Amino acid sequence: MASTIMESLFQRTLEDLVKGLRVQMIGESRYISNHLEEIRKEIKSTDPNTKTMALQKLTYINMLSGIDMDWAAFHVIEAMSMTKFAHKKIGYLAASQSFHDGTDVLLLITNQLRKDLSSNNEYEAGVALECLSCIATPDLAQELTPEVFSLLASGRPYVRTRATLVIFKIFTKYPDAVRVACKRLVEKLEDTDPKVMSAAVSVFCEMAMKDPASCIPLAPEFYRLLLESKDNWLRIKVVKIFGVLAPLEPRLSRKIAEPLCEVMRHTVAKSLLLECIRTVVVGLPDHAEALKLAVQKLKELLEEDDPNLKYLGLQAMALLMPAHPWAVAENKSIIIRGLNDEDHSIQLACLQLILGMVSESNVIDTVQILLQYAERSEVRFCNEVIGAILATCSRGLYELVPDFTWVKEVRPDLLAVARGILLDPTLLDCPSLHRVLSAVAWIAGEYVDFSHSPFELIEALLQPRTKLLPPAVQAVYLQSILKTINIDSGKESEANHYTEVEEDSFNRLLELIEINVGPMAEQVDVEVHERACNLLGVAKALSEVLCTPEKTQEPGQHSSHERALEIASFLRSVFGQELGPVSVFAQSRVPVPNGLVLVKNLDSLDGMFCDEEVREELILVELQTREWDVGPISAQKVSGDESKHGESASLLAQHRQRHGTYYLPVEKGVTMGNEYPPPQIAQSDAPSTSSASDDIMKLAEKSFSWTKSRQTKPRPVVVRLDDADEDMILSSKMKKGAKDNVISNAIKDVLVGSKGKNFISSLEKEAADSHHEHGKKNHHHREHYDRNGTQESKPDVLDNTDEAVRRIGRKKHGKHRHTNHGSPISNVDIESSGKQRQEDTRKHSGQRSRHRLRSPVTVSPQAEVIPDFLL
Amino acid sequence: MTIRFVLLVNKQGQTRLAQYYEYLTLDERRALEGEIVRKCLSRSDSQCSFIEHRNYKVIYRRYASLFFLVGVDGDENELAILEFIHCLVETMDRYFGNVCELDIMFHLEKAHFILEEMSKSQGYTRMVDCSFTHALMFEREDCSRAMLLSVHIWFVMSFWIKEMGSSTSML
Repeated sequence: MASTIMESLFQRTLEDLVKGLRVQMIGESRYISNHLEEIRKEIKSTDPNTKTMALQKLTYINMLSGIDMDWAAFHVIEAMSMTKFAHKKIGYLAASQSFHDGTDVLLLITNQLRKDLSSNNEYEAGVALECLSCIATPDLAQELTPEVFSLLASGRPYVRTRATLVIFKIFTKYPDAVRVACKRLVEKLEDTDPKVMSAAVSVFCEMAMKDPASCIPLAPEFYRLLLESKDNWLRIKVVKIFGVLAPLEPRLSRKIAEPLCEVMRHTVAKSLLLECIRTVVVGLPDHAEALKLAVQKLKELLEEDDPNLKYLGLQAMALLMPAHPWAVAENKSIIIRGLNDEDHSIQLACLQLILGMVSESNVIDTVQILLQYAERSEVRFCNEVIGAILATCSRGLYELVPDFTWVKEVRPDLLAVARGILLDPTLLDCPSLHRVLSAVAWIAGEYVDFSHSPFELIEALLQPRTKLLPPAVQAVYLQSILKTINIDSGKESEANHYTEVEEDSFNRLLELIEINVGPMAEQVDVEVHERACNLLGVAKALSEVLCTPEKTQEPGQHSSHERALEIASFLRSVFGQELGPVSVFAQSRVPVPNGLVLVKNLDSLDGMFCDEEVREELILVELQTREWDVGPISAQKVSGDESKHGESASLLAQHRQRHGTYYLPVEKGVTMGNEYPPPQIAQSDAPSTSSASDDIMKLAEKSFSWTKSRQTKPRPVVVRLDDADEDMILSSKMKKGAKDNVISNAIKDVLVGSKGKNFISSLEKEAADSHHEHGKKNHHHREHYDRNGTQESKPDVLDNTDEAVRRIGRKKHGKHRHTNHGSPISNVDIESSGKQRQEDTRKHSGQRSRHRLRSPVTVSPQAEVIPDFLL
Repeated sequence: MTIRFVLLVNKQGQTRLAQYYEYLTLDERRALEGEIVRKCLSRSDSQCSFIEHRNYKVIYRRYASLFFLVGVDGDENELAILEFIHCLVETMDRYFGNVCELDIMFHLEKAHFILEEMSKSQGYTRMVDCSFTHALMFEREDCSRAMLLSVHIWFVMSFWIKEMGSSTSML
């Protein structure tokens, strides 16, 4: 007893720790490690005060100095279970800071959390909720869902708010909780307490960011909040939600355009304004009025002096760029002025915008302006400008550049800039610049002709610090050096004025090369090694020739000078030819020689195929089929290669017949030949026919050391290329797995029929009005639907749906695997439509769509979770 | 999770308060703090208050010798976060009375508590109310002082909420 009193009396508090930290003379880390010793002793104390104080000190040391506190995990749990709130809170703080999925004692706290969550004291429930939001694991989330759920209905706003927020964390960890809690969460949008409401909106905002489609049913609620709420924090979130919902639902974007314009016109809060602009840009690209207003407001932002607003304005501009280049062009002068801004990020944003505006007509002017800026600005930005220019000009295989002579004219300028970069040794340290350096080194080597002082360039390329560069860049450097010396020696020989001084400097240069490149020849990287060796060889040859004193030469031999000339001219001829740009149409201009048949079948050349090629090809195909799971892109490749594949298999078989002795003996029961199953056959049945190509694949497999068993070998599948987009969307949606479906389904369950009736009817009316105006020809069509069901749907939406269904039906023949990933509902859809497809032909599709409309749960796969109740 | 972390750093680059809303290992934290702080400290007042770092957007603001850094993910409204930082400072200011770095150092747990409460709902000050002063009361068991604080903070908060509602603030 006495000892505990002594302990707590003489224990240093957190404040003492900090004070001590400020006056210590022994160095911070030593002071802290001394203190840690103390904490280790104190934390074992049985006295709660001493223990929690020690824990608190440890927590803050961990926070500020990054000292490990995992060892104290069990003490943390002890503190959490103390009765006094002050102690408990310290324990919870320590837990939320230090616990993670790998903490082994995490299993022990479930009951403690459950107890505190259901505590009568709102603050105890509060800290428990907060801790849960930090450390929730799937297990914890599953166990504690009921408690959090009941807290959602708590009488105290403080607890309700926190529970609402924690629910989001639980959703992410344990998606099934959505089924239980979603309905109540939706009710929170109408909570009497504004804090709870705001929290609920935050949660839905996060959910909408992850899976926008699932939140579409809630649009009426958000719309109401947008109109009614006076709270800017809340409105920002709501506007943000609409930003992701509107692209999915064209009718919604029509509906919100007016309120958004209203907000933009009247709000003084720049943050809200900015959010509205973003939403308009992303979500309402077709709404001319809103867009115009947004662009106008954006211009105002850009003209502000505040760098923050300017930067954000530029970023919003970048969003506008792809769809509405005119908006950017309007503000061209402001953007170009931005290049001079002292803020680097603003400069960069401007640069990107300017390059985005580049077109065939203005590329020359733009690049000239930019080069002027590049020369004036500091080195780092200069690099970025040059890199960006090169990237833009080379975009789309130089399609922008109309005139290659202009490119040639620019080259000396480029070289001048490149020289500047190379000479600056400080740049070598910056890893982000390595690619630029490599490009610059290449330029220096290739266009060294334009340079006035190649010696300087070589010296720059030979800086000792180049060894810090990655091997790929080093290799480029070495090659540039080689090009440069060769030009050098060539120049000398041509000019034939070969003074002592120059010879000296040339010799020194060669020495320099030997000193600096020598170590590189020891490099592990093959490329660097080889190039360094080559370079050394050339340098050695040259120096031998040059260094041979004149007098020791025998009379019959060439003079050293001549030999140098010989070498130089030879090297020069190697590098002399310039790789000029080739016009796209160049090949068509070449006349076809008489007697050459271009369309002749080359089958007779089969024999010349070497087996290596065939193998490689097969391995390639095999690899691609393996990647098949990744998605439709590889499927395309496979379909592209499919024909080749059949060919190569037969080639292989022929080759085997001819050179049978070089092949491994064939296993029993293995049929030979090219009866590789046609790719269209469904791949569910395992390949019973392992063909000759299988052997090759096995070989390939050994060499690639695949560990995965090949029980079910996927078959290549032919996919029509024009379906590729749909494939992409579909598979990505399906790949999202069960979670999103659970969420969206749950929300649907909750909402369909119960929510937003008024909103629906108003929208319905509006949509009807607008249709009357500009859709007379659809009129008849639409009335038909009106008679059919209570809900009407726009004809074009229906067509889409139908189209998508048909596509899926078509795909089903080829792709069983994809449907396996899908949600149960869409599976059923696909099944049924697939069957239908067999009888139905295209002309019946109209009928079918009507049929689908009448069925109660129609989930169109394209607009997966968008029920039509907004109409 | 929009706010990922909040850091308070002084001019020398020493961390004064840190709160992470996702788990990072100690090494990751150290590296992240080092890089971000270096980037922020090298910027001048006339440059914008946003930097992009890996997958974070960092929004920072300098008050005297203290930098307040908030890391958020891609689609957070930067100006709202700036406003949040300002509210945080304002609240601390009212609570400590002209807050300075030393206040935060010597009252770590309180500063941390305020931060925690304010950032609770992924960053919105609206969440703050006087209730957390009650919680402070629990902690200190010093009623008279806590009552005083409660009045203080209640005043601050109502002021700020009103302010935000009518949006007279800069942003």
